[in-house]
Amino acid sequence: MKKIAIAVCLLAAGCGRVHFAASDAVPEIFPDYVGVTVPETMAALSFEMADGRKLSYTSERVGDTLFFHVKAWKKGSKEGVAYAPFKVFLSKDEIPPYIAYRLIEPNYEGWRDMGIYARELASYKETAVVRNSANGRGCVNCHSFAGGDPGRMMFHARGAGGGTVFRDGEELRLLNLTTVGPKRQGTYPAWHPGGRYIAYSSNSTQQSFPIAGSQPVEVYDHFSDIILLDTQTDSVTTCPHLFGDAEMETFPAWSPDGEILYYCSAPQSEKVAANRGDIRYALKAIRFRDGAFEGEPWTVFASDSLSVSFPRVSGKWLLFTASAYGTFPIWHREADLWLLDLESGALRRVDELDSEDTESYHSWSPNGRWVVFSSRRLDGRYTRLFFAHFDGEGHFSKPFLLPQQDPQHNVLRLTSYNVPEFVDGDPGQLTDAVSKLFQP
Amino acid sequence: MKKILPPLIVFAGAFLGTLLLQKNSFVMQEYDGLFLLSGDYFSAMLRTPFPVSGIIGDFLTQFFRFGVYAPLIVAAGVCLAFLLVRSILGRFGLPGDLPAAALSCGLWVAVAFAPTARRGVAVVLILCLLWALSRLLPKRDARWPLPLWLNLAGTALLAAGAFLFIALNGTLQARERMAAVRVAAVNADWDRILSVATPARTATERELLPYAFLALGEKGRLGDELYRYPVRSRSDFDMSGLPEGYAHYFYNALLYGTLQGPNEAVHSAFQLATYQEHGQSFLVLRRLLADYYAMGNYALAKKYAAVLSRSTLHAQYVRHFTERMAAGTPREPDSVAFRKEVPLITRDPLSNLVKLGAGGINAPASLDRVLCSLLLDGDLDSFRTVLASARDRYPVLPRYYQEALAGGL
Repeated sequence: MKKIAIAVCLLAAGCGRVHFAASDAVPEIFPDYVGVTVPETMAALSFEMADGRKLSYTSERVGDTLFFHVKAWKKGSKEGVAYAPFKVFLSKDEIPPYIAYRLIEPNYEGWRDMGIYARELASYKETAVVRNSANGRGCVNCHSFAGGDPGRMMFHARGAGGGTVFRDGEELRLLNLTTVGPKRQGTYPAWHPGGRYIAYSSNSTQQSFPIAGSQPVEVYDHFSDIILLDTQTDSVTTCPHLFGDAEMETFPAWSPDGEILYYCSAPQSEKVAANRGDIRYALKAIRFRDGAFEGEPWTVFASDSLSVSFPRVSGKWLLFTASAYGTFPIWHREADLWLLDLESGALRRVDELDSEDTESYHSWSPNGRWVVFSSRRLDGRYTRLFFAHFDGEGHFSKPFLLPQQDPQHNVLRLTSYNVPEFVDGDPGQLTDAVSKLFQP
Repeated sequence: MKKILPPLIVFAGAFLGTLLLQKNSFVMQEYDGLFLLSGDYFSAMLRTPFPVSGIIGDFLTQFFRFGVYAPLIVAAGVCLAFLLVRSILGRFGLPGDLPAAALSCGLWVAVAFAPTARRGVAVVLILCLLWALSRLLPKRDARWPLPLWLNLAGTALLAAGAFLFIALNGTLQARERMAAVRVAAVNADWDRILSVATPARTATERELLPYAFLALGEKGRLGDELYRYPVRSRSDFDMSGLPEGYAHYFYNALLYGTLQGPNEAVHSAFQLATYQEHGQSFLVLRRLLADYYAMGNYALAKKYAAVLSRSTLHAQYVRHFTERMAAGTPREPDSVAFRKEVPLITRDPLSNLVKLGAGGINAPASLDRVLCSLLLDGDLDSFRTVLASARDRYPVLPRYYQEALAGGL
């Protein structure tokens, strides 16, 4: 961001011959960085005029505020507009240096190339942590880092000989969860803050395709349960409250102290496809101590008009995604982020983060001051990552799009960003090492 | 002047051979290809084993969509290979015309078989490198010069041999016919499909059959001609039951497009892309732009327009849609109430047709496809019921419907 403060950017030649009329309005730019709050360490915000006009801009830093002075003109025109400066607020609240996410085309059933990538937030550098060339173009998904530790992570690598890949420093190992305990594969992971246990949902997921209308894909579970992996013994255990035919349990998430597991749960439905519009997941919780769940689960939040996904806790705040029904909000344009105060029970839709289109997966930074979330607001299909600052009092700043060196990159990229997670460092590149796990 | 005659013979042979024997095969290369001035395209290409030849090959492949360009580019590449080889050999004082003709005709045959332009470009690039290196060596006096007539006759013989090899190769012929049918289907040229996918030919090349029925449906002749073709089961008719893959999705994208079911057309197009080299292609991008425009989803259509505008030859195509979008109104997304009730697609095309019909989507060919599917399934009760409900759609009942009602099938 310091680079911005001293930057004088002339993005197109020839503006010197243009006459600029002063305007009181701030420019409409893409991405919309007007009035956002960004970490001091964030890569420079690169933008263009939303209507495609040429622009030049300068920026100056006054205290913790950057003022951008933008001039814009049509190509070939000698008349332009000098806009009122817009502000970008710089926050000293720390943000982890990396995020990890999966890049995959927002396809239907199949895919060709996908991978888990890491992006350094102070620059535009993106590296592949693992590509699916490592496992014969199988799926790689649901990455999770133990407490954001780049050296301790897991992800699923599907396909022939597939399973769950665990990385602990230099050591990589492949564990097929369907061979241990209740013999169920893992889906959505939640790494216990203590680092020893991982709670997984185990989902039998199906995609369906509406024959008409604007929603291209619907995804639902035929059944799901929650299992617990002990990474020290590779044993998998279950709990009767989280495993059985009566309920579909999914999306596990730990409280920061590791004493409560939050999860989503809906009554089992016999005809899931036909009844998909009536299936709503409630937010539930159960206590956890000494490697075992204890007591009865309780309902934290339930609604007959909202279905809960992706609970994520930071301090007393629980952020979740809510859609009108179902368990796969990324294909539900009505899906929004909601914030629950676990102490007071106050609940609200986070209008300052939400859009007309889908908001879905989200993660808190370890200090609870930043959130990264996925949204389809740019075009309704290709998920992009947005960040927002949290004031600790229940309010977020205006979200901003992950900066790219070329703003058009956000348009031209034909893949979606899945499962954004903050990481404390560079996870490195594991594709070659992982491919050895899949060699006969 | 005399020196130019042998490479001219090779150029003419490769040009005519590609134009007459493989035009559609090269159009299909463009359909399956991709070249974009975008960071992701180049970073993906730089991870491939031969990135330079890949990028140049992809760039050239863009031109293959337009009739004469592929033959020109192939002929130019083959001719360039001839000139490079002759020049390299000439550096050593060796007679170059016949070896150059042999290598360039070999390259032409290899390009004819290759799925992309990449290998051909790689060979030409290597020859360019060798030629540059040969320039560093002292030039030797010419040894063993051959008479011109021998060079011309030998070159012509090699070019004719390559032409005949390609012309008589069954694999290439079948590939060209399949390509011709697919290209015609993309361009809704139903007569062209029926001229290639004849009843006799579809007996041996059964992948052509669904395209013949697609064309007959669009021409309104399905009920009159269904059994003129060697149809054995419904999978010949609509590819149901066949393994999913490139052929399946290529066809389904076209089928559901003609049946006015854009959701499944887009679904199939996306699936098709996963079987293409780049995981995306010009054909699919064009399809997505057109389909999302038709569906009123301007946000996505504009995205694909922006992506296609980063290629070399889509300015006019993109302008066509952007001008219409500027003048049009996007469709509002569906309500939650609608979405939770809308029927879901199945693997069975017949079931999907019925669902489309129930949803008010009735393309002209849909009814014939439903009736013919029922005939092929041997479900005459359902056939009679459906036909009775739509009897007024047929002033004259098609031949095979009459026979079915009379118990003749």
